[in-house]
Amino acid sequence: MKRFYEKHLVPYLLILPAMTLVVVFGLIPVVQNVEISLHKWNFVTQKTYVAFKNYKDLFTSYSLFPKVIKNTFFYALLKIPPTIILSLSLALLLTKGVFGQNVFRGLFFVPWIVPTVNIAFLWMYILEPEYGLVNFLLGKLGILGPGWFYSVNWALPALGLISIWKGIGYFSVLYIGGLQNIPQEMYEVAEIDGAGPLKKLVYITLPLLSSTTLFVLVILVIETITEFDLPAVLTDGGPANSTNLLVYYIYQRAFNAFQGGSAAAISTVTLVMLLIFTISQFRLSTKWVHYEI
Amino acid sequence: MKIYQTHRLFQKEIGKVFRFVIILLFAILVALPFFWMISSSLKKPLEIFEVPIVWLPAKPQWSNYTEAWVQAPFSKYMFNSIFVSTSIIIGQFFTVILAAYAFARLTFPGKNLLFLSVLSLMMVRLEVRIIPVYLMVSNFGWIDSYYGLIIPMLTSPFGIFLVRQAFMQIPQDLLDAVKIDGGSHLTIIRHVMIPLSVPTIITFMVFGFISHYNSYFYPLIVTHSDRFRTIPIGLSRFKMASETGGVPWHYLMAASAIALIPSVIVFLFSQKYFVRGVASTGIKG
Repeated sequence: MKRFYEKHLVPYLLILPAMTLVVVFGLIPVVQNVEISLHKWNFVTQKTYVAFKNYKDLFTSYSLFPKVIKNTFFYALLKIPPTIILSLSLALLLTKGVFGQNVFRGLFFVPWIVPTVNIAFLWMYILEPEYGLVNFLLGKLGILGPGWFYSVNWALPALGLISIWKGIGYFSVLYIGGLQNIPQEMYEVAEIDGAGPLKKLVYITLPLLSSTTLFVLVILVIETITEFDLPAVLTDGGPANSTNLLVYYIYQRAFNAFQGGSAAAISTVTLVMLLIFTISQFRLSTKWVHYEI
Repeated sequence: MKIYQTHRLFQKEIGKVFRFVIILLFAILVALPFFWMISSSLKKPLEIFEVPIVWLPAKPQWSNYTEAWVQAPFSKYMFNSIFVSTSIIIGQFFTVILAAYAFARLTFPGKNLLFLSVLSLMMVRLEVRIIPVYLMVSNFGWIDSYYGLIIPMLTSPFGIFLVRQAFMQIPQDLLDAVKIDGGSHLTIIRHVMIPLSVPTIITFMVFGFISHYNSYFYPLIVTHSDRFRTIPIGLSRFKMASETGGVPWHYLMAASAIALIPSVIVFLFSQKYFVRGVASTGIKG
Protein backbone atom coordinates (compact mmCIF):
# COMPACT_ATOMS: atom_id res chain seq x y z
CA MET A 1 0.00 0.00 0.00
CA LYS A 2 2.79 2.37 0.94
CA ARG A 3 4.56 1.64 -2.34
CA PHE A 4 1.44 2.39 -4.31
CA TYR A 5 1.04 5.66 -2.47
CA GLU A 6 4.71 6.53 -2.99
CA LYS A 7 4.71 5.78 -6.65
CA HIS A 8 1.37 7.02 -7.87
CA LEU A 9 0.05 9.60 -5.50
CA VAL A 10 3.08 11.54 -4.30
CA PRO A 11 3.95 13.23 -7.62
CA TYR A 12 0.44 14.64 -7.87
CA LEU A 13 0.47 15.79 -4.27
CA LEU A 14 3.74 17.61 -4.90
CA ILE A 15 2.45 19.51 -7.89
CA LEU A 16 -1.03 20.05 -6.43
CA PRO A 17 -0.50 23.52 -4.88
CA ALA A 18 1.17 24.93 -7.99
CA MET A 19 -1.20 23.22 -10.40
CA THR A 20 -4.30 24.41 -8.55
CA LEU A 21 -3.17 28.00 -8.95
CA VAL A 22 -2.15 27.44 -12.57
CA VAL A 23 -5.55 25.98 -13.39
CA VAL A 24 -7.71 28.39 -11.38
CA PHE A 25 -5.96 31.65 -12.27
CA GLY A 26 -4.35 30.59 -15.54
CA LEU A 27 -6.16 28.01 -17.64
CA ILE A 28 -9.79 28.45 -16.60
CA PRO A 29 -9.61 32.22 -17.28
CA VAL A 30 -8.41 31.55 -20.83
CA VAL A 31 -11.59 29.58 -21.53
CA GLN A 32 -13.79 32.05 -19.67
CA ASN A 33 -12.27 34.89 -21.62
CA VAL A 34 -13.37 33.34 -24.90
CA GLU A 35 -16.84 32.79 -23.48
CA ILE A 36 -17.12 36.42 -22.32
CA SER A 37 -15.92 37.65 -25.71
CA LEU A 38 -19.01 36.16 -27.35
CA HIS A 39 -21.31 38.33 -25.25
CA LYS A 40 -22.24 41.93 -24.85
CA TRP A 41 -21.70 42.69 -21.19
CA ASN A 42 -21.08 45.68 -18.92
CA PHE A 43 -20.14 43.47 -15.90
CA VAL A 44 -23.43 44.38 -14.17
CA THR A 45 -26.55 43.49 -16.15
CA GLN A 46 -27.27 40.15 -17.84
CA LYS A 47 -24.90 39.03 -20.58
CA THR A 48 -26.39 38.95 -24.09
CA TYR A 49 -25.04 36.42 -26.54
CA VAL A 50 -23.85 38.16 -29.71
CA ALA A 51 -21.68 35.43 -31.30
CA PHE A 52 -18.69 37.00 -33.08
CA LYS A 53 -20.01 40.54 -33.20
CA ASN A 54 -17.35 41.84 -30.77
CA TYR A 55 -14.62 40.51 -33.05
CA LYS A 56 -16.20 41.94 -36.21
CA ASP A 57 -16.65 45.30 -34.51
CA LEU A 58 -12.92 45.50 -33.88
CA PHE A 59 -12.34 45.92 -37.58
CA THR A 60 -15.06 48.42 -38.44
CA SER A 61 -14.13 51.91 -39.56
CA TYR A 62 -14.87 53.64 -36.25
CA SER A 63 -12.91 51.12 -34.23
CA LEU A 64 -9.63 52.14 -32.64
CA PHE A 65 -8.32 48.59 -32.76
CA PRO A 66 -6.45 48.72 -36.11
CA LYS A 67 -4.63 51.83 -34.89
CA VAL A 68 -3.77 50.10 -31.61
CA ILE A 69 -2.35 47.13 -33.50
CA LYS A 70 -0.35 49.47 -35.70
CA ASN A 71 0.96 51.34 -32.65
CA THR A 72 2.01 48.11 -30.96
CA PHE A 73 3.78 46.92 -34.10
CA PHE A 74 5.57 50.25 -34.50
CA TYR A 75 6.53 50.21 -30.83
CA ALA A 76 8.05 46.74 -31.33
CA LEU A 77 10.08 47.98 -34.29
CA LEU A 78 11.32 51.00 -32.34
CA LYS A 79 12.27 48.97 -29.32
CA ILE A 80 13.38 45.46 -30.22
CA PRO A 81 16.22 45.93 -32.77
CA PRO A 82 18.02 48.70 -30.82
CA THR A 83 17.69 46.73 -27.58
CA ILE A 84 19.27 43.65 -29.15
CA ILE A 85 22.09 45.57 -30.85
CA LEU A 86 22.92 47.72 -27.83
CA SER A 87 22.77 44.93 -25.28
CA LEU A 88 24.90 42.65 -27.44
CA SER A 89 27.49 45.41 -27.96
CA LEU A 90 27.55 46.11 -24.26
CA ALA A 91 27.98 42.42 -23.47
CA LEU A 92 30.90 42.17 -25.92
CA LEU A 93 32.55 45.16 -24.26
CA LEU A 94 31.93 43.83 -20.77
CA THR A 95 33.48 40.40 -21.30
CA LYS A 96 36.84 41.55 -22.61
CA GLY A 97 38.30 42.42 -19.23
CA VAL A 98 37.64 46.10 -18.70
CA PHE A 99 38.60 47.97 -15.56
CA GLY A 100 35.70 47.74 -13.08
CA GLN A 101 33.52 45.55 -15.28
CA ASN A 102 31.58 43.98 -12.40
CA VAL A 103 30.65 47.41 -11.07
CA PHE A 104 29.45 48.38 -14.54
CA ARG A 105 27.39 45.20 -14.93
CA GLY A 106 25.67 45.99 -11.65
CA LEU A 107 25.05 49.60 -12.62
CA PHE A 108 23.54 48.74 -16.01
CA PHE A 109 21.19 46.33 -14.28
CA VAL A 110 19.69 48.96 -11.99
CA PRO A 111 17.09 50.42 -14.43
CA TRP A 112 15.70 46.91 -14.83
CA ILE A 113 15.09 46.31 -11.13
CA VAL A 114 13.42 49.57 -10.13
CA PRO A 115 9.65 49.99 -10.59
CA THR A 116 8.59 50.99 -14.10
CA VAL A 117 6.35 53.62 -12.52
CA ASN A 118 9.44 55.30 -11.01
CA ILE A 119 11.24 55.12 -14.33
CA ALA A 120 8.21 56.53 -16.11
CA PHE A 121 7.90 59.55 -13.80
CA LEU A 122 11.63 60.16 -13.90
CA TRP A 123 11.57 60.30 -17.70
CA MET A 124 8.38 62.30 -17.74
CA TYR A 125 10.38 64.96 -15.94
CA ILE A 126 13.54 64.52 -18.00
CA LEU A 127 11.63 64.77 -21.28
CA GLU A 128 9.51 67.74 -20.21
CA PRO A 129 9.70 69.98 -23.31
CA GLU A 130 10.07 73.34 -21.53
CA TYR A 131 12.44 72.72 -18.63
CA GLY A 132 13.44 69.05 -19.05
CA LEU A 133 17.02 67.86 -19.05
CA VAL A 134 17.04 66.30 -22.52
CA ASN A 135 15.69 69.29 -24.39
CA PHE A 136 18.07 71.52 -22.45
CA LEU A 137 21.04 69.38 -23.56
CA LEU A 138 19.72 69.24 -27.13
CA GLY A 139 19.42 73.03 -27.04
CA LYS A 140 23.10 73.26 -26.10
CA LEU A 141 23.84 71.36 -29.30
CA GLY A 142 21.68 73.80 -31.23
CA ILE A 143 18.82 71.33 -31.71
CA LEU A 144 15.26 72.33 -30.92
CA GLY A 145 13.96 69.40 -28.88
CA PRO A 146 10.54 67.95 -29.77
CA GLY A 147 7.46 68.04 -27.54
CA TRP A 148 7.96 64.35 -26.61
CA PHE A 149 4.82 63.17 -24.77
CA TYR A 150 2.86 66.16 -26.03
CA SER A 151 3.60 65.37 -29.68
CA VAL A 152 1.67 62.84 -31.76
CA ASN A 153 4.86 61.91 -33.62
CA TRP A 154 7.26 61.78 -30.69
CA ALA A 155 5.26 60.20 -27.86
CA LEU A 156 5.63 56.61 -29.03
CA PRO A 157 9.37 56.95 -29.82
CA ALA A 158 9.76 58.43 -26.34
CA LEU A 159 8.18 55.31 -24.83
CA GLY A 160 10.50 53.18 -26.96
CA LEU A 161 13.51 55.14 -25.77
CA ILE A 162 12.62 54.65 -22.10
CA SER A 163 12.00 50.99 -22.63
CA ILE A 164 15.36 50.51 -24.36
CA TRP A 165 17.11 52.41 -21.59
CA LYS A 166 15.43 50.20 -19.00
CA GLY A 167 16.19 46.89 -20.72
CA ILE A 168 19.74 46.94 -22.09
CA GLY A 169 21.41 46.10 -18.78
CA TYR A 170 19.27 43.03 -18.26
CA PHE A 171 19.59 41.75 -21.81
CA SER A 172 23.33 42.37 -21.87
CA VAL A 173 23.64 40.15 -18.80
CA LEU A 174 21.79 37.42 -20.73
CA TYR A 175 24.28 37.88 -23.56
CA ILE A 176 27.21 37.79 -21.14
CA GLY A 177 25.92 34.39 -20.05
CA GLY A 178 25.86 33.26 -23.68
CA LEU A 179 29.34 34.61 -24.35
CA GLN A 180 30.77 32.79 -21.36
CA ASN A 181 29.57 29.50 -22.85
CA ILE A 182 31.66 29.94 -25.99
CA PRO A 183 34.88 27.92 -25.61
CA GLN A 184 37.96 30.14 -25.80
CA GLU A 185 39.76 27.60 -28.01
CA MET A 186 37.48 28.42 -30.93
CA TYR A 187 38.90 31.92 -31.03
CA GLU A 188 42.45 30.64 -30.66
CA VAL A 189 41.99 28.27 -33.60
CA ALA A 190 40.48 31.06 -35.69
CA GLU A 191 43.40 33.34 -34.83
CA ILE A 192 45.87 30.74 -36.02
CA ASP A 193 43.92 30.67 -39.28
CA GLY A 194 44.39 34.43 -39.46
CA ALA A 195 40.86 35.57 -38.68
CA GLY A 196 40.52 39.21 -37.61
CA PRO A 197 38.12 40.58 -34.97
CA LEU A 198 35.28 41.09 -37.48
CA LYS A 199 35.54 37.56 -38.88
CA LYS A 200 35.60 36.13 -35.37
CA LEU A 201 32.45 38.07 -34.54
CA VAL A 202 30.56 37.02 -37.66
CA TYR A 203 31.65 33.39 -37.88
CA ILE A 204 32.02 32.42 -34.23
CA THR A 205 30.41 34.79 -31.76
CA LEU A 206 27.11 35.58 -33.49
CA PRO A 207 26.26 32.00 -34.57
CA LEU A 208 27.11 30.61 -31.14
CA LEU A 209 25.03 33.29 -29.47
CA SER A 210 21.99 32.53 -31.60
CA SER A 211 20.20 30.54 -28.90
CA THR A 212 20.62 33.51 -26.54
CA THR A 213 19.30 35.83 -29.23
CA LEU A 214 16.25 33.61 -29.67
CA PHE A 215 15.58 33.73 -25.93
CA VAL A 216 16.06 37.52 -25.83
CA LEU A 217 13.79 37.97 -28.83
CA VAL A 218 11.01 35.84 -27.34
CA ILE A 219 11.11 37.79 -24.07
CA LEU A 220 11.17 41.11 -25.90
CA VAL A 221 8.20 40.24 -28.11
CA ILE A 222 6.11 39.07 -25.15
CA GLU A 223 7.11 42.16 -23.21
CA THR A 224 6.27 44.51 -26.07
CA ILE A 225 2.87 42.99 -26.76
CA THR A 226 1.94 43.16 -23.07
CA GLU A 227 3.30 46.66 -22.40
CA PHE A 228 1.03 48.56 -20.01
CA ASP A 229 2.91 50.59 -17.40
CA LEU A 230 4.54 53.15 -19.66
CA PRO A 231 1.45 54.34 -21.59
CA ALA A 232 -0.67 54.10 -18.43
CA VAL A 233 1.61 56.34 -16.39
CA LEU A 234 2.98 58.64 -19.06
CA THR A 235 0.38 59.30 -21.71
CA ASP A 236 -2.95 57.59 -20.99
CA GLY A 237 -2.60 56.34 -24.55
CA GLY A 238 -2.46 59.85 -25.99
CA PRO A 239 -2.00 62.28 -27.56
CA ALA A 240 -4.72 61.34 -30.06
CA ASN A 241 -4.27 57.64 -29.18
CA SER A 242 -0.76 57.66 -30.65
CA THR A 243 0.54 55.59 -27.71
CA ASN A 244 -2.51 53.42 -27.17
CA LEU A 245 -1.03 49.90 -27.04
CA LEU A 246 -2.87 46.57 -26.92
CA VAL A 247 -2.96 45.91 -23.18
CA TYR A 248 -3.64 49.54 -22.36
CA TYR A 249 -6.57 49.38 -24.78
CA ILE A 250 -7.88 46.22 -23.07
CA TYR A 251 -7.67 48.08 -19.77
CA GLN A 252 -9.52 51.10 -21.19
CA ARG A 253 -12.27 49.01 -22.75
CA ALA A 254 -12.76 46.86 -19.65
CA PHE A 255 -12.23 49.17 -16.69
CA ASN A 256 -13.07 52.61 -18.08
CA ALA A 257 -15.69 51.91 -20.75
CA PHE A 258 -17.06 48.73 -19.10
CA GLN A 259 -17.29 46.96 -22.45
CA GLY A 260 -16.55 43.52 -21.01
CA GLY A 261 -17.26 41.52 -24.17
CA SER A 262 -15.28 43.81 -26.42
CA ALA A 263 -12.33 43.91 -24.00
CA ALA A 264 -12.39 40.11 -23.79
CA ALA A 265 -12.36 39.90 -27.60
CA ILE A 266 -9.26 42.12 -27.71
CA SER A 267 -7.67 39.93 -25.03
CA THR A 268 -8.33 36.84 -27.11
CA VAL A 269 -6.80 38.43 -30.21
CA THR A 270 -3.77 39.52 -28.16
CA LEU A 271 -3.44 36.01 -26.76
CA VAL A 272 -3.53 34.51 -30.24
CA MET A 273 -0.89 37.01 -31.35
CA LEU A 274 1.33 36.00 -28.42
CA LEU A 275 0.95 32.34 -29.33
CA ILE A 276 1.61 32.90 -33.04
CA PHE A 277 4.66 35.09 -32.50
CA THR A 278 6.23 32.94 -29.83
CA ILE A 279 5.63 29.60 -31.52
CA SER A 280 6.68 30.87 -34.94
CA GLN A 281 9.90 32.20 -33.45
CA PHE A 282 10.73 28.76 -32.13
CA ARG A 283 9.77 27.19 -35.47
CA LEU A 284 11.79 29.66 -37.53
CA SER A 285 14.67 29.35 -35.14
CA THR A 286 15.54 25.92 -36.48
CA LYS A 287 16.81 27.77 -39.55
CA TRP A 288 19.14 30.18 -37.77
CA VAL A 289 19.83 28.91 -34.27
CA HIS A 290 22.88 26.70 -33.74
CA TYR A 291 22.41 24.65 -30.64
CA GLU A 292 25.57 22.61 -30.38
CA ILE A 293 28.96 24.04 -29.70
CA MET B 1 60.10 40.94 -34.09
CA LYS B 2 60.52 43.10 -31.01
CA ILE B 3 59.01 46.14 -32.76
CA TYR B 4 56.08 44.01 -33.87
CA GLN B 5 55.43 42.86 -30.32
CA THR B 6 55.54 46.38 -28.92
CA HIS B 7 53.16 47.41 -31.66
CA ARG B 8 50.73 44.61 -30.73
CA LEU B 9 50.95 45.52 -27.08
CA PHE B 10 50.30 49.15 -27.88
CA GLN B 11 47.26 48.21 -29.98
CA LYS B 12 45.94 46.09 -27.14
CA GLU B 13 46.29 48.95 -24.68
CA ILE B 14 44.58 51.38 -27.05
CA GLY B 15 41.73 48.88 -27.45
CA LYS B 16 41.37 48.64 -23.69
CA VAL B 17 41.18 52.40 -23.25
CA PHE B 18 38.75 52.71 -26.15
CA ARG B 19 36.43 50.06 -24.68
CA PHE B 20 36.60 51.69 -21.28
CA VAL B 21 35.60 55.06 -22.71
CA ILE B 22 32.57 53.59 -24.51
CA ILE B 23 31.44 51.74 -21.40
CA LEU B 24 31.88 54.91 -19.40
CA LEU B 25 29.61 56.75 -21.85
CA PHE B 26 26.98 54.02 -21.46
CA ALA B 27 27.36 54.29 -17.70
CA ILE B 28 26.78 58.04 -17.82
CA LEU B 29 23.62 57.50 -19.89
CA VAL B 30 22.35 55.04 -17.29
CA ALA B 31 23.41 57.01 -14.23
CA LEU B 32 22.50 60.54 -15.33
CA PRO B 33 18.71 60.12 -14.95
CA PHE B 34 19.22 58.79 -11.41
CA PHE B 35 21.54 61.66 -10.58
CA TRP B 36 18.88 64.00 -11.94
CA MET B 37 16.24 62.35 -9.78
CA ILE B 38 18.26 62.85 -6.58
CA SER B 39 19.35 66.35 -7.49
CA SER B 40 15.79 67.42 -8.32
CA SER B 41 14.38 65.84 -5.20
CA LEU B 42 16.48 68.30 -3.21
CA LYS B 43 15.49 71.42 -5.15
CA LYS B 44 13.21 74.27 -4.25
CA PRO B 45 10.09 74.34 -6.47
CA LEU B 46 11.42 77.36 -8.37
CA GLU B 47 14.74 75.70 -9.15
CA ILE B 48 12.82 72.90 -10.89
CA PHE B 49 11.57 75.22 -13.61
CA GLU B 50 14.70 77.25 -14.08
CA VAL B 51 16.27 77.48 -17.55
CA PRO B 52 19.21 77.03 -17.97
CA ILE B 53 18.80 74.06 -15.70
CA VAL B 54 20.16 73.87 -12.18
CA TRP B 55 22.51 70.88 -11.91
CA LEU B 56 22.74 70.99 -8.15
CA PRO B 57 20.38 72.84 -5.82
CA ALA B 58 21.91 75.86 -4.13
CA LYS B 59 20.80 74.55 -0.77
CA PRO B 60 19.63 70.90 -0.58
CA GLN B 61 16.05 70.80 0.68
CA TRP B 62 16.13 67.62 2.74
CA SER B 63 12.71 68.48 4.09
CA ASN B 64 11.29 67.60 0.63
CA TYR B 65 11.61 63.96 1.59
CA THR B 66 9.63 64.19 4.78
CA GLU B 67 7.05 66.46 3.16
CA ALA B 68 6.65 64.23 0.10
CA TRP B 69 6.14 61.22 2.31
CA VAL B 70 3.04 62.70 3.92
CA GLN B 71 1.46 63.93 0.66
CA ALA B 72 -0.21 60.53 0.58
CA PRO B 73 -0.19 57.60 3.05
CA PHE B 74 3.18 56.40 1.72
CA SER B 75 4.15 54.53 4.87
CA LYS B 76 1.04 52.41 4.42
CA TYR B 77 1.77 51.89 0.71
CA MET B 78 5.33 50.89 1.50
CA PHE B 79 4.18 48.44 4.14
CA ASN B 80 1.64 46.95 1.71
CA SER B 81 4.23 46.60 -1.05
CA ILE B 82 6.78 44.88 1.15
CA PHE B 83 4.23 42.71 2.95
CA VAL B 84 2.55 41.57 -0.28
CA SER B 85 5.78 40.85 -2.19
CA THR B 86 7.34 39.04 0.76
CA SER B 87 4.26 36.87 1.31
CA ILE B 88 4.17 36.05 -2.39
CA ILE B 89 7.77 34.87 -2.59
CA ILE B 90 7.50 32.85 0.60
CA GLY B 91 4.46 31.08 -0.83
CA GLN B 92 6.18 30.63 -4.18
CA PHE B 93 9.18 29.10 -2.46
CA PHE B 94 7.03 26.12 -1.42
CA THR B 95 4.80 25.69 -4.46
CA VAL B 96 7.67 26.13 -6.90
CA ILE B 97 10.14 23.81 -5.20
CA LEU B 98 7.63 20.99 -4.72
CA ALA B 99 6.41 21.18 -8.31
CA ALA B 100 9.92 21.62 -9.74
CA TYR B 101 11.06 18.50 -7.90
CA ALA B 102 8.17 16.41 -9.24
CA PHE B 103 8.68 17.66 -12.78
CA ALA B 104 12.44 17.18 -12.65
CA ARG B 105 12.79 13.88 -10.82
CA LEU B 106 9.60 11.81 -10.85
CA THR B 107 7.68 10.08 -13.61
CA PHE B 108 3.91 10.07 -13.66
CA PRO B 109 1.18 9.93 -16.28
CA GLY B 110 0.38 13.33 -17.81
CA LYS B 111 3.65 14.86 -16.66
CA ASN B 112 4.58 16.42 -19.98
CA LEU B 113 1.15 17.84 -20.61
CA LEU B 114 0.96 19.32 -17.12
CA PHE B 115 4.43 20.83 -17.40
CA LEU B 116 3.55 22.29 -20.78
CA SER B 117 0.44 23.90 -19.34
CA VAL B 118 2.60 25.51 -16.65
CA LEU B 119 5.04 26.79 -19.25
CA SER B 120 2.25 28.11 -21.46
CA LEU B 121 1.46 30.69 -18.78
CA MET B 122 4.83 32.33 -19.40
CA MET B 123 3.35 33.23 -22.78
CA VAL B 124 -0.32 33.65 -21.91
CA ARG B 125 0.45 36.46 -19.53
CA LEU B 126 -1.84 37.83 -16.85
CA GLU B 127 -2.50 40.89 -19.00
CA VAL B 128 -4.57 38.86 -21.47
CA ARG B 129 -6.41 36.92 -18.76
CA ILE B 130 -7.17 39.94 -16.63
CA ILE B 131 -10.93 40.15 -17.16
CA PRO B 132 -11.79 36.62 -15.96
CA VAL B 133 -9.13 36.82 -13.23
CA TYR B 134 -10.64 40.08 -12.03
CA LEU B 135 -14.12 38.52 -12.02
CA MET B 136 -12.89 35.47 -10.15
CA VAL B 137 -11.09 37.54 -7.51
CA SER B 138 -14.23 39.60 -7.24
CA ASN B 139 -16.43 36.48 -6.82
CA PHE B 140 -14.19 35.28 -4.02
CA GLY B 141 -14.75 38.67 -2.39
CA TRP B 142 -11.05 39.46 -2.58
CA ILE B 143 -11.15 42.82 -4.34
CA ASP B 144 -9.37 45.39 -2.19
CA SER B 145 -7.80 42.86 0.16
CA TYR B 146 -4.45 41.21 0.80
CA TYR B 147 -6.00 37.90 -0.34
CA GLY B 148 -6.65 39.33 -3.79
CA LEU B 149 -3.15 40.76 -4.06
CA ILE B 150 -1.37 37.65 -2.80
CA ILE B 151 -3.21 34.38 -3.46
CA PRO B 152 -3.42 34.42 -7.29
CA MET B 153 0.35 35.09 -7.38
CA LEU B 154 1.43 32.21 -5.14
CA THR B 155 3.07 30.22 -7.87
CA SER B 156 5.47 31.14 -10.65
CA PRO B 157 5.76 29.27 -13.96
CA PHE B 158 9.11 30.97 -14.57
CA GLY B 159 10.28 29.80 -11.14
CA ILE B 160 9.16 26.21 -11.76
CA PHE B 161 10.98 26.24 -15.08
CA LEU B 162 14.17 27.66 -13.59
CA VAL B 163 14.32 25.49 -10.47
CA ARG B 164 13.42 22.36 -12.45
CA GLN B 165 16.47 23.04 -14.67
CA ALA B 166 18.67 23.22 -11.57
CA PHE B 167 17.14 20.08 -10.01
CA MET B 168 17.68 18.08 -13.20
CA GLN B 169 21.43 18.65 -12.99
CA ILE B 170 21.84 17.06 -9.57
CA PRO B 171 23.42 13.56 -9.83
CA GLN B 172 21.03 10.65 -9.21
CA ASP B 173 23.56 8.98 -6.87
CA LEU B 174 22.93 11.62 -4.24
CA LEU B 175 19.19 10.95 -4.35
CA ASP B 176 19.72 7.20 -4.21
CA ALA B 177 21.93 7.56 -1.15
CA VAL B 178 19.14 9.29 0.74
CA LYS B 179 16.60 6.74 -0.45
CA ILE B 180 18.73 3.83 0.78
CA ASP B 181 18.80 5.47 4.20
CA GLY B 182 15.00 5.40 4.05
CA GLY B 183 14.59 9.11 3.32
CA SER B 184 11.36 10.39 1.83
CA HIS B 185 10.93 12.82 -1.03
CA LEU B 186 10.72 15.68 1.40
CA THR B 187 14.04 14.63 2.96
CA ILE B 188 15.59 14.56 -0.49
CA ILE B 189 14.23 18.01 -1.24
CA ARG B 190 15.40 19.44 2.07
CA HIS B 191 18.82 17.88 2.29
CA VAL B 192 19.88 17.46 -1.32
CA MET B 193 17.90 19.51 -3.81
CA ILE B 194 17.64 22.83 -1.98
CA PRO B 195 21.22 23.03 -0.64
CA LEU B 196 22.63 22.24 -4.08
CA SER B 197 20.46 24.79 -5.91
CA VAL B 198 20.86 27.84 -3.70
CA PRO B 199 21.92 30.31 -6.44
CA THR B 200 18.97 29.38 -8.66
CA ILE B 201 16.48 29.54 -5.81
CA ILE B 202 17.81 32.93 -4.73
CA THR B 203 17.63 34.15 -8.32
CA PHE B 204 14.00 33.22 -8.72
CA MET B 205 13.01 34.59 -5.32
CA VAL B 206 14.81 37.88 -5.86
CA PHE B 207 13.28 38.09 -9.30
CA GLY B 208 9.87 37.40 -7.78
CA PHE B 209 10.26 39.96 -5.02
CA ILE B 210 11.39 42.67 -7.40
CA SER B 211 8.74 42.00 -10.01
CA HIS B 212 5.91 41.96 -7.46
CA TYR B 213 7.25 44.98 -5.61
CA ASN B 214 7.36 46.83 -8.93
CA SER B 215 4.07 45.53 -10.24
CA TYR B 216 1.59 48.19 -11.33
CA PHE B 217 -1.01 46.56 -13.58
CA TYR B 218 -2.46 43.94 -11.24
CA PRO B 219 -2.58 45.94 -7.96
CA LEU B 220 -4.09 48.84 -9.89
CA ILE B 221 -6.99 46.63 -10.92
CA VAL B 222 -7.68 44.76 -7.67
CA THR B 223 -7.30 47.60 -5.16
CA HIS B 224 -9.57 50.57 -4.65
CA SER B 225 -8.60 52.06 -1.31
CA ASP B 226 -5.49 53.38 0.39
CA ARG B 227 -5.60 50.52 2.85
CA PHE B 228 -4.36 48.10 0.19
CA ARG B 229 -2.67 50.23 -2.45
CA THR B 230 0.98 49.57 -3.12
CA ILE B 231 3.83 52.00 -3.74
CA PRO B 232 3.61 52.20 -7.56
CA ILE B 233 -0.09 53.03 -7.38
CA GLY B 234 0.64 55.57 -4.65
CA LEU B 235 3.26 57.28 -6.80
CA SER B 236 0.91 57.51 -9.75
CA ARG B 237 -1.43 59.57 -7.56
CA PHE B 238 0.94 62.50 -8.03
CA LYS B 239 -0.23 62.52 -11.61
CA MET B 240 -3.77 63.21 -10.49
CA ALA B 241 -2.40 66.13 -8.53
CA SER B 242 -0.81 67.32 -11.75
CA GLU B 243 -4.21 67.61 -13.39
CA THR B 244 -5.30 70.21 -10.89
CA GLY B 245 -2.03 72.13 -10.80
CA GLY B 246 1.58 71.67 -11.84
CA VAL B 247 3.25 68.35 -11.08
CA PRO B 248 5.05 68.73 -7.74
CA TRP B 249 8.27 67.34 -9.25
CA HIS B 250 10.44 67.85 -6.18
CA TYR B 251 8.03 65.75 -4.11
CA LEU B 252 7.52 63.19 -6.85
CA MET B 253 11.28 62.70 -7.27
CA ALA B 254 11.78 62.45 -3.51
CA ALA B 255 9.02 59.86 -3.13
CA SER B 256 10.34 57.93 -6.15
CA ALA B 257 13.81 57.88 -4.66
CA ILE B 258 12.48 56.35 -1.44
CA ALA B 259 10.30 53.90 -3.35
CA LEU B 260 13.21 52.36 -5.19
CA ILE B 261 15.27 51.72 -2.06
CA PRO B 262 13.83 48.22 -1.31
CA SER B 263 14.47 46.96 -4.86
CA VAL B 264 18.00 48.31 -4.82
CA ILE B 265 18.78 46.84 -1.39
CA VAL B 266 17.49 43.41 -2.37
CA PHE B 267 19.46 43.62 -5.58
CA LEU B 268 22.70 44.70 -3.89
CA PHE B 269 22.54 41.87 -1.37
CA SER B 270 21.86 39.24 -3.98
CA GLN B 271 23.84 40.67 -6.89
CA LYS B 272 26.47 37.97 -6.66
CA TYR B 273 23.91 35.23 -7.24
CA PHE B 274 21.40 37.20 -9.20
CA VAL B 275 23.51 38.48 -12.09
CA ARG B 276 25.14 35.08 -12.45
CA GLY B 277 21.77 33.37 -12.17
CA VAL B 278 20.26 35.53 -14.90
CA ALA B 279 23.27 34.98 -17.10
CA SER B 280 22.67 31.25 -16.97
CA THR B 281 18.87 31.24 -17.18
CA GLY B 282 18.89 27.78 -18.62
CA ILE B 283 19.84 28.97 -22.09
CA LYS B 284 22.77 26.70 -22.67
CA GLY B 285 22.54 25.19 -26.12
